[in-house]
Amino acid sequence: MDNDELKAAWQAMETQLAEQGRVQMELVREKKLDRTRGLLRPLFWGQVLQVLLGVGLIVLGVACWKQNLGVAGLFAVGVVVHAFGVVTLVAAAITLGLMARIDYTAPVLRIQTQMAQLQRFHTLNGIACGLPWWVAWVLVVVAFAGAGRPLSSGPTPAWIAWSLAVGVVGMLGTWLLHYLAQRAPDSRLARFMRDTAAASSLRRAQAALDDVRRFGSD
Amino acid sequence: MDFDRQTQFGQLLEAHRGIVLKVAHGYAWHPEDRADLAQEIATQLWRAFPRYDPARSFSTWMYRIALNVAISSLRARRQDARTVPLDERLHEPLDSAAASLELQQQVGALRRFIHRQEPLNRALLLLYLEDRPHAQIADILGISVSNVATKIGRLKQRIHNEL
Repeated sequence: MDNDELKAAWQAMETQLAEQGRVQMELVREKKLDRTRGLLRPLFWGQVLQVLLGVGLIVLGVACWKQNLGVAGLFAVGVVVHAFGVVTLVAAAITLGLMARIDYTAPVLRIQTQMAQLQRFHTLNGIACGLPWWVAWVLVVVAFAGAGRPLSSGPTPAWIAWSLAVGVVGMLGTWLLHYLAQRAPDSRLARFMRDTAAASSLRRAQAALDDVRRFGSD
Repeated sequence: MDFDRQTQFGQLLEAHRGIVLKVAHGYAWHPEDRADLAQEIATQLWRAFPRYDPARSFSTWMYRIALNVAISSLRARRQDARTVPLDERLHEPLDSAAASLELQQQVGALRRFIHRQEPLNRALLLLYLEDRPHAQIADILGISVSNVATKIGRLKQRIHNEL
């Protein structure tokens, strides 16, 4: 196809689009411009919820360690829950900050870089704040018990030790699977892991960043 | 005041609606996706409109938003255009009285070629087909004018080889 044919084909496509487009643009006129749907809106509300969760964990952690200054185990649980709350809160705040700087009126390359960085951080945020829940749920339960009233020190209930052990094994197992999958990228395990949401999301984010860098640097 | 703004926006959108349609068509193959994308672009244009500086080109501003929304939407849909089967039946044929069979085939080939491009190269292709000046393409995409010239040279070579 030479240049004239190419432009003729494009003109023909434009004419067809103009006819089809009348119907689509009618939708725009029907006061649908203020509707709530948006590409980043679900992510925004997810992060707001994570901020609230972080605040809740901080409040719980502080209440637990303040109430149990003399009980080493509960004091430690309170501090860990407090720290986990801070990580949860900060990660969500950074994600919201990355979202806030995205302005679609900026040049395409800059925004696509920012979108890919946001996706990558959001995925890492999900891993950093999600994986510890293998163990964190036990600590949260204990912190709830410890935050209510001062507990006398005594032997740790067996269910706590068992739950923590299972949680640690689960967390290490998940980490090990990811590690093995990375060591043997062509294995069946690696294919399975690649299909999991977090891994494929990270891969897509990295691919998008690579695309943008390649496009900008050529 | 808000009514005036909406009227002004409506007039500008109507005058440049071809941009929205062409970008939506370039980034969404299925008619429902196309309608959704056109709607999403219009929504983002409306949201950004209060910050539009009338001293600057409206079409440049509109292209930036439309392309940013379209590329982000394409990535969000996890739709890799290189692996999606392109079904010509999803598109209405050109009016046979107005278009020769050869032209219809050329339009089909051009559509498939557009959808084979990577998202950023597709943006460049759409702007090239629109005969936008290199300086404006550079401004929209955020790359240098010399980079635009290099990329368009490669694009022409691909068009020559594949179409």
